[in-house]
Amino acid sequence: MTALNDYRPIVGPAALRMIRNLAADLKGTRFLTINSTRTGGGVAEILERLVPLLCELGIEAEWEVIEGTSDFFRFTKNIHNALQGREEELTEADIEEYEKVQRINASRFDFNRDLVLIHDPQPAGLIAQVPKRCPWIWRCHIDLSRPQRNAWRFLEPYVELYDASVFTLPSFAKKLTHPQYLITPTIDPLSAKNRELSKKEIDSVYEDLRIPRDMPVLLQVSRFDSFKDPLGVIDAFEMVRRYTHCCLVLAGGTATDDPEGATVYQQVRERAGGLQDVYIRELEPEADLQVNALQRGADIIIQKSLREGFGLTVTEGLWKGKPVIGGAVGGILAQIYDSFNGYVVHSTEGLAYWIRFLLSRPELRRRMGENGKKLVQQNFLITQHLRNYLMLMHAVTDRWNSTRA
Amino acid sequence: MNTNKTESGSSPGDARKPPAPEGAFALKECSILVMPTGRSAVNLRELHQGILEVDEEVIEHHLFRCHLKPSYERSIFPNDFAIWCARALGDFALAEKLATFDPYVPDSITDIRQVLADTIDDHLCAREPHVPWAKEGFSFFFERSVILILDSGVWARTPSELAKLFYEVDVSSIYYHFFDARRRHSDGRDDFSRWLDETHEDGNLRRRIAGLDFHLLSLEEVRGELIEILSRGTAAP
Repeated sequence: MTALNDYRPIVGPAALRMIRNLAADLKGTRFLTINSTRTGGGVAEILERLVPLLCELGIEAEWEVIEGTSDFFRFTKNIHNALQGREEELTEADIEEYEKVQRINASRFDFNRDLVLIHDPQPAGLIAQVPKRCPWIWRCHIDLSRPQRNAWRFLEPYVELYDASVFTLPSFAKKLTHPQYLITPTIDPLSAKNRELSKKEIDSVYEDLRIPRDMPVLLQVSRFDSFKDPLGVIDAFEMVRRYTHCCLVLAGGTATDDPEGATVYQQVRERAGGLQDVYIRELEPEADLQVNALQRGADIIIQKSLREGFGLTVTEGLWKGKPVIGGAVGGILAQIYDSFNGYVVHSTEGLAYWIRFLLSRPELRRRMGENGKKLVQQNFLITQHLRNYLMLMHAVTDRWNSTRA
Repeated sequence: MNTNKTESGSSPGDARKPPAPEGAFALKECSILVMPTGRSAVNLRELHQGILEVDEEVIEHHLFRCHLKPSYERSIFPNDFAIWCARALGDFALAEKLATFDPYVPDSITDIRQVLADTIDDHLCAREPHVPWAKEGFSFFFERSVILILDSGVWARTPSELAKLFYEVDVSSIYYHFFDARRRHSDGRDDFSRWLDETHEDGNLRRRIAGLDFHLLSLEEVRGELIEILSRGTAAP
């Protein structure tokens, strides 16, 4: 188990001391956080690390996961898509199922806490099922900048019951009656997904996955999700291949709360069928070491999202010292600065252009890689997240106490 | 939320000093949590209007506390307004004007707001009827922040000791003592200069600190300059 002191060589002693100072007044706080999956996806990855670190700091932190039916997760996936702007139909039966799952889960957890933090729409409705005895915070990881109206109308009454909301970017914030805060997700530099690897470890993963190393590797790691536009990435690769020899790796896992993944995966396989040097690899949720090795062995990291909450795969790619080309959406814009550590693109042609541009400039790729790693080290590591969570706890509990004084 | 916290927790593994003795410089650190206001601007006209209408704390955040926010561009321009004009509008002429503006000169946020608004208004007038628009996805979002100030538990008795300790505290300490202090104290001076005044007779150090063109430096750069000045002490030119 990673301890806070293990981060000392990476972030320095001052950052850790400050975290401990911030936590001092919060010792003994009974903190409950709930999301919808224990494995797969950025939220689970963050909680897996943050919760033990909060416990080490003396906060009685517990992480719970809601359970739901396949109908429930299909509906919440639709809600997720609709909140990111896609047209989805929300039926009365779906809404009833959502409320039923909230009722069942509400009876599973002990809400006798000092602070409750709920992630995303799946468990958002729990707040309507239990008497509120402490501040509740809703943490939204989704790009809410252009939600489908019906989806937000469904969710908003639940969100308004909370005492605060947390969004990733200011463009995702909504008009709400309670305070809103901004916290960006982060990566753990010591996790299997991000720790340093030897060349031997990297080569071994490429060999296991049967991906050649004798040509430049373009890599997109993400769930098989239409918002990640894997088909657009293949289109761009075809354009690049007319001029440059390279291979494309599309690697991704699935999450238990994402029933759409299998369909998109199938579409990607069909699109790539017959194309030379395209490697589609479905990874297990626990394949962190493989992801790490793939990223470290790649020449250019791609994240051609059409919507993106934050884009932790961008953060991961930057941390590995690689230039990243990403869609000009959501949190990608907060991480990639043109010509500094990569490029943001607005089209398939744009992706193809910047891939070709970078493939012919190895020195620029190296320099961009250095810049990107430094950016992540200063801003997007889990210790910064921990510091922000502690700040959030202070802000929300102080406000709760002062309004009741 | 409390904006001041003078107690700090013990930290296992850290060699904590006892409370700072009288006359010592006790280093504080600070941390902010950013809050969206829900207001945004997609063009320069909307930015101008926003600057005139938002709460004072929003102006304060974008001009002063923005130093505590992550941004690669902070190394180029010193405030959020200048950064946005350059990155989103591609209007470097205005970005340069806004970057050059010294927010520590006006006495109040009211005055600062007026200078900013006038600068932008002049720029708009000179380009009428053209209004610069932000690239898609690059709207300006007005924000505010909450700040928490903490005792670091680190203190120094002499300037050279202080110089050695700057890397033991978070760089936010530089913001609190060097940037924010000028607005906290009626004489507009930073905490280090005031301390040197109270405890030492070394006018040379004070003059060199006062001569720092800090407004255009990042927190890390100011820290480096202060270490250089304080560690060389009276031997410095």
